[in-house]
Amino acid sequence: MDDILQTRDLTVRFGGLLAVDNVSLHVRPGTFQSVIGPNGAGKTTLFNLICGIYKPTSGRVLFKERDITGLPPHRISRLGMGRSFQITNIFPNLTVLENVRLAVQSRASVGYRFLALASSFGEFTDKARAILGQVGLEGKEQTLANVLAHGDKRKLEIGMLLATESELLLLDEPTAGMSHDDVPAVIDVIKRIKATGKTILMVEHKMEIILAISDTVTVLRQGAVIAEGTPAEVAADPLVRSAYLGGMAV
Amino acid sequence: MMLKRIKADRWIIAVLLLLLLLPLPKLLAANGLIAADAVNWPPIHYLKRSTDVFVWAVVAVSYDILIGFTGIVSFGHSLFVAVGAYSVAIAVMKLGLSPVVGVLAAVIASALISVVVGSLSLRLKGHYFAMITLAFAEVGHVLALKLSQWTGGEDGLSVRVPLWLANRTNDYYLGLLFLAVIFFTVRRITESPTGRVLAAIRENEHRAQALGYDVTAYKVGAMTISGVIAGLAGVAMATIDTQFAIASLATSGPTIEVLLMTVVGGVGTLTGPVLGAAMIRLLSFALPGLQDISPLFARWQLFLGLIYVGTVMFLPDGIVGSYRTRVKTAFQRIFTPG
Repeated sequence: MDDILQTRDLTVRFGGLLAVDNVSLHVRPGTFQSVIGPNGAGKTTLFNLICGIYKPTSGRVLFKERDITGLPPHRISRLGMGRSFQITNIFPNLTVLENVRLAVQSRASVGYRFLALASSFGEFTDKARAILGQVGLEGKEQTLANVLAHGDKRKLEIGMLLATESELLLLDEPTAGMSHDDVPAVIDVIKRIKATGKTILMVEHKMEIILAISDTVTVLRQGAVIAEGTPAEVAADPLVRSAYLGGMAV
Repeated sequence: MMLKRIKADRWIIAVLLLLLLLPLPKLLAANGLIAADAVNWPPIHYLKRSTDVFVWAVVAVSYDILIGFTGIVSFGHSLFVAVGAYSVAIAVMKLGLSPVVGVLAAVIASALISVVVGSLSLRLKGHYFAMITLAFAEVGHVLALKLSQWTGGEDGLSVRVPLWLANRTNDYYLGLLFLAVIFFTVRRITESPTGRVLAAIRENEHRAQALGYDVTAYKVGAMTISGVIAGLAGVAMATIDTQFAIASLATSGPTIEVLLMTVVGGVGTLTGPVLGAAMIRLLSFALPGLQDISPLFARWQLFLGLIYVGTVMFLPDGIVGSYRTRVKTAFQRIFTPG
């Protein structure tokens, strides 16, 4: 099977800092791949390169065998790559329903119709409601997004991601900043998405999540890949253990 | 509570309508439908001041598309008012064309300039964007001064309008109709799929982009719609209001006045900017007249400044915005369980 996402020798340099160093990823369709690494390893930067927010210094990004290096983020998004962010990234003063509805609308080609009424596109609203059910936010449709509890905001983000019907989802620390009690509900949502056959690339810190749901784990340190393999292989790798223990002898 | 608000709103609307229709007998008289000498009320200056309010209210509504619904702050917005005013003035006075051609020219010119200014400046954000728009407006100002064989330079261009437009009662109703059409069109736009995307951009630009929306294209679109409306307001200014095109329209002064109207009335509310336009225009007309009472009123802008500071401090959502939030929170307090 061909890779849905490939990076070839992807490198980005910010001034003197080599943030991502020759990273070559191969993500196969329908798999769940995690990217881990200590703080500052370049995980989020790697995501930003893949989805077009940064342009690489060298190297290429291929999505569905198409070279997408240098395309603007909205174009890449429309090709079928969805992205969630490490810091909560929603439309704060719009309702929960409207947040998801906007994500649904982004995939329909309504174009720049500025004299039609948004409320006349009932199918968007229906679909948005269905998605809110999937991520466990039913009954909160009319709440303003910024008054949601943190865990619910993360669920809303995942809902927005689902609404874009992307084949590949990039999840940047979906449980970041979440209280311990909220984590299982979000993992549950992620597992359900995985079960629908979507390809997921996730950055995460919490080892128990990574070990529980990943097919493949890639370990970054100082921008470079130092290990790759199944969760069990990676957990046993001495290099990985030293990276996580700050280079102390193990 | 909600019912009470609708009731209160209805009263406000009814009183406003009554006020706006006061000059109706005069309209009939002006067009020979009833005996003309029977009606000499309301006086001309009432009609003139009202027409002026209508025209500036349109500018404020167009500004609200940018600041309130898309979240971009331009310091060069009145450039488009100047473009509209000069388009019709030059068409009529320099080229001897019909005012209708002037209106078309104004729409085309303000659309083109919006697209050019927008695509060149909207890649920048916040202060940088604001500064660039200020620079563009200043270029317009200088051009209007220097191309004096076309623009009349410092003196500006006075527009000789057809006889039926020289009638202040007709001007009043045209201005009112103009404001009503623009107001409801803009409200419709904000409720359209495109309008919702603009709100999304205002709320979180990066998220909108990550969802696949071409943020720059939407912003240029918003700026074009807003620019064309401001251009039409310029046409109105040159035909039914001051009947004059003057270079100072393109300076930051009028833009800041429009910003003031929008902020005082309530950003993103549409009715707020209309209310703000009425307040600011009437005050800036009335305050200088109070100089006999106190020399302080010679510095009347001081009072506008106080109103602005007061609004930002005590009514950060503006008059209409605060009214709406207050009613809404009272409503939620009563009906939200827990």
